[in-house]
Amino acid sequence: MTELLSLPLETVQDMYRRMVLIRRFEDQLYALFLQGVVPGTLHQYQGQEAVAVGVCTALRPDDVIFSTHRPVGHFLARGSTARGIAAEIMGKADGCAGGKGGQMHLTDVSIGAMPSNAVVGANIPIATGAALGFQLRGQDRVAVSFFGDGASNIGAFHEGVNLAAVKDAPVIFVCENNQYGASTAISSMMRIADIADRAAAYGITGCVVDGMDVIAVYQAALEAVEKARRGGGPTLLECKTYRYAGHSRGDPGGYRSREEVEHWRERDPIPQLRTLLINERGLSETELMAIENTCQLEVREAIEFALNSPEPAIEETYLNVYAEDK
Amino acid sequence: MSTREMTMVEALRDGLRVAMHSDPGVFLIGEDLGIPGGFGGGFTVTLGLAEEFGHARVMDTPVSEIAIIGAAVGAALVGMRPIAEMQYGDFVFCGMDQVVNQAAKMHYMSNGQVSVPMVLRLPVGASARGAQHSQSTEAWFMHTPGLKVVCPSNPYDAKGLLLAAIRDNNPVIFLEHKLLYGGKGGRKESSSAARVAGVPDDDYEVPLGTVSVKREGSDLTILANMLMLHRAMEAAEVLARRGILAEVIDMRCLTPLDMQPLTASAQKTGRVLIVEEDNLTGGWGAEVAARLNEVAFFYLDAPVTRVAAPDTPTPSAPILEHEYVPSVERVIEAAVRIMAG
Amino acid sequence: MIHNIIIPALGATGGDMVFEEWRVQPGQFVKSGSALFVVTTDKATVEVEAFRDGYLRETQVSPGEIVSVQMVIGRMTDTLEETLSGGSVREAVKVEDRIPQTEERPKTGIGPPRRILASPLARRMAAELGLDLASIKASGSEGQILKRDIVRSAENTHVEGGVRRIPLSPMRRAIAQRTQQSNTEVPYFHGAAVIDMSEAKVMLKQAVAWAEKNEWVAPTITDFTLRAAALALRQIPALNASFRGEEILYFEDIHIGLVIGLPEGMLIPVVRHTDRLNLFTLAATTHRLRTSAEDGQLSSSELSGATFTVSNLGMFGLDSFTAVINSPEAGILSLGAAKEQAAVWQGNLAIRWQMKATITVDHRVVDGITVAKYLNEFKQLLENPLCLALEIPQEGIK
Repeated sequence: MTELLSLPLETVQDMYRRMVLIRRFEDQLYALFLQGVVPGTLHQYQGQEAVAVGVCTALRPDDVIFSTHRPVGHFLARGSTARGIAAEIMGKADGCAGGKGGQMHLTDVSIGAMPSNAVVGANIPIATGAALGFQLRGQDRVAVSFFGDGASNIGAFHEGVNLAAVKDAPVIFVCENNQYGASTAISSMMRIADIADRAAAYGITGCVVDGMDVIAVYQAALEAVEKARRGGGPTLLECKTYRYAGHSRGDPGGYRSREEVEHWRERDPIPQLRTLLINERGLSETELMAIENTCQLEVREAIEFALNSPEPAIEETYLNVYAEDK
Repeated sequence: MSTREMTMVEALRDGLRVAMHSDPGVFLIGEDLGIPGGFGGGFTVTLGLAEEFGHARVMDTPVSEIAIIGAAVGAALVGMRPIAEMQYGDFVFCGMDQVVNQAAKMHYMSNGQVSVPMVLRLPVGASARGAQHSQSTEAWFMHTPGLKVVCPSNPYDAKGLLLAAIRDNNPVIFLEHKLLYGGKGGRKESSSAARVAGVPDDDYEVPLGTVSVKREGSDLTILANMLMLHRAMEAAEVLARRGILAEVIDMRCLTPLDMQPLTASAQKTGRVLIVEEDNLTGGWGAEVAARLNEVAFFYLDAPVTRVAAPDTPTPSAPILEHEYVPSVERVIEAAVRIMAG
Repeated sequence: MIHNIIIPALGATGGDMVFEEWRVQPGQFVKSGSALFVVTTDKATVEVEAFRDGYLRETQVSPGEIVSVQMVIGRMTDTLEETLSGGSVREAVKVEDRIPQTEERPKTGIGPPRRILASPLARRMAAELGLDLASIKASGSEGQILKRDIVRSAENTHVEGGVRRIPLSPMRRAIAQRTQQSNTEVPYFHGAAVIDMSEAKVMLKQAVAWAEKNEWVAPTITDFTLRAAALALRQIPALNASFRGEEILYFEDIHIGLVIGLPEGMLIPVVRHTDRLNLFTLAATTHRLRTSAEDGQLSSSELSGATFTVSNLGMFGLDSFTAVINSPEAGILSLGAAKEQAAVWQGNLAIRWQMKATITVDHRVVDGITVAKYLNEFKQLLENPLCLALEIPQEGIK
């Protein structure tokens, strides 16, 4: 509560806006997917908005983020355009990666969003490397690695976190624990309850956060970021959250009980913040609806844009395999 | 500018030094690189560099190939020029995802928004250490679009190619044959060629994507890399005394591959023999043979032939390893057979 | 096991060896150390022994053939029961035998008619040189023709003693057949004349200048002589004929074959209706035919249908010669070089350009008077070259 009050109004309004934008965008995209307009599949972010928005709000423009196969939330939270993302997912020339990356490999260097990674956990050592790069240059920039609960079991996690710990690299490891790695409950794949406990094994700070509370996430992230900037080393930030959709769009989620899903629906981060904004910051329905409508329009326009965007030229297949010499 | 006699180890070390002096973004990352009182990497290449440039830029890591390569990717993405070392080239497989799925693809997937200007140094080649410390891994990387593959055979090329690789904006796999290091002091390979050559001690580059004609001839073209290049040259000497004039080309860059001199040579001699230390099936020789078939078929008087290691893991006993690695005799035999028709 | 029998290095200092004979018959047993075959080198005749016990199963050379070191000349097996499934015993990759025996091609003498195996380079060279692969001996161990076989075939291999053995090319074979037949069958008669070419040379100069100005093909002396030969044939049509056993054919149209010398022999393209072509047209025609001949582009229709032939070796400086008739034509005109000579001209001693022309005719068709008339007409035309340029009276105009 007090944290919420201490933040500037524009900041919290923008947090709300971005969470709504993500939700509307992902819902719209799902509708399109059902119409058969989206190539491949979708890995959707509904329910986890507070993590992306909370963490990204704590960053500076010159920091970098490393996302996953489920990147839409991170990219919109960081400030990438809905148009560029929509077009990329549709495989169009105006996509943020010209249609070369696709839904799982979004890139937007203008906002410090490095190529998102479809190999689970692979971005962990890469983010460590980026952080080492900042360190070598004497810069106080930080790198953020987003990954899921499943990724915390892969070798790259161990190696990447350990290396960062040993070098005090300015990297924040954000584990979005949505309880499942694909269809497998994380509780069945590790003997501990909190992934954050693993931090102790590397001698770094670990911290568990309510991933449905955007302000809480923001606070924790800010602390971790400032510590890293000071040279205090990495933090493992475990955000307990939930994805309302299946793992990917082909997944009906038959491995989760209705009760469980309902339980997490009741803790939806967006209505949570909405209520707080009305009660604690005196925002009116009208003002909130205005924000929501803006998001709706933005999403609609982005989809429109993507549908009308041309397909990439065939020659693109052969371009940008190698970087040119300067 | 002056020239000094250097072994390949010294030439590589000098190249690293020159690169690190010229660009503060260049740093080294790997195991046992700069440990005080240590060996300077797997084969002494980095000896002394930590003292000169500090332990931040000569970064020692845990035993973590995924993290070494991954961190190099990450640092490269934010504008550094990391040079990662695997203690043995065989260990690259521990971190293959980071090479093939990450480093090689980021530029393409991002449609050119990012690039990965890193070098990955791999000590390769059979040296009596058994199957997991002996492989020649070039074919894996030649097969992967987005990577460049370099494999020098001599100190001059080694330093020049290394500097070019560091300055290249793409991930470069840089293979170094253990028996060509010729290291003095510290860890000297007992059967190493200990070759020294005159190497300029200043900043120079040998361009990537080139091969080098090391000996001219008109009867037979021999294509070889790294240690096999030396075997081919020895064989060429013997063949010359028997009236067979072999042209020997050093395949020091496999990607990008400059087909033009290879084609010209095949057209001239009509016979091509490939000598490689990697396993026969799917080795780099298979790719080159396929390409020569496509562009020089009507000039060939004999099929393009390969001498390679057999399709087995590397045996350890010296007598067996000797059977495994193509010898000068095998090269000569193959050449004579080709000439006989 | 199947073993190749190869020609060992016998200490010859160079060049080929000739296979003389087998000392064993196919199917016979030969003991290691006993005589297997005989070869003649530049130094001596050598008896080559078998290196192992076995049975001679297959021979790939016959007496008199040229062989070379390492060449596979036959095969033997350890036992008589084993079959020869084909191919040479090659050292394959040591781990597995990658080439199954059944897929290898059968060698000479076994199985269905053999495809000609040749390396891509050998094929290309053979095509470029106009060599028939079927006539070339293969020295490759799989029976394939290699570059060295083409080179040997085309360019002669040196056997000591100064003897060069060149197989007949198709062109040479054709020339040999034609001239032999002509020589055997046709009773010859020759006539010769010396022709003053000074006037013709002057006119030629003018004609060439005119042609160059108009960017036409410039005429040559040969073109002049061709036109003269054609116009003379018109006047003495008895020569435009052919002997055919019980009858003589007299041709209404005049088509003169012009001999074109080439490095590998000669070709005789035909100028159709030679008499109807004016000098510049004739020049263009002969130029085109000559170029086509040199490029090997002449069609068979361009090489047939001549009623008379002209051969001008004079361009190579020869004074005179007597060509062989191009059977079944009745005559051939051989022209020597036009040279400056001391001669009597209009009662005075002068230096004049003179050319010797010899005509060879088939005496069954033509007799001496006709020959004399023809040569005279030919001579008159060239000595009064304006007449070459003039047309005959056109018909139908009063």
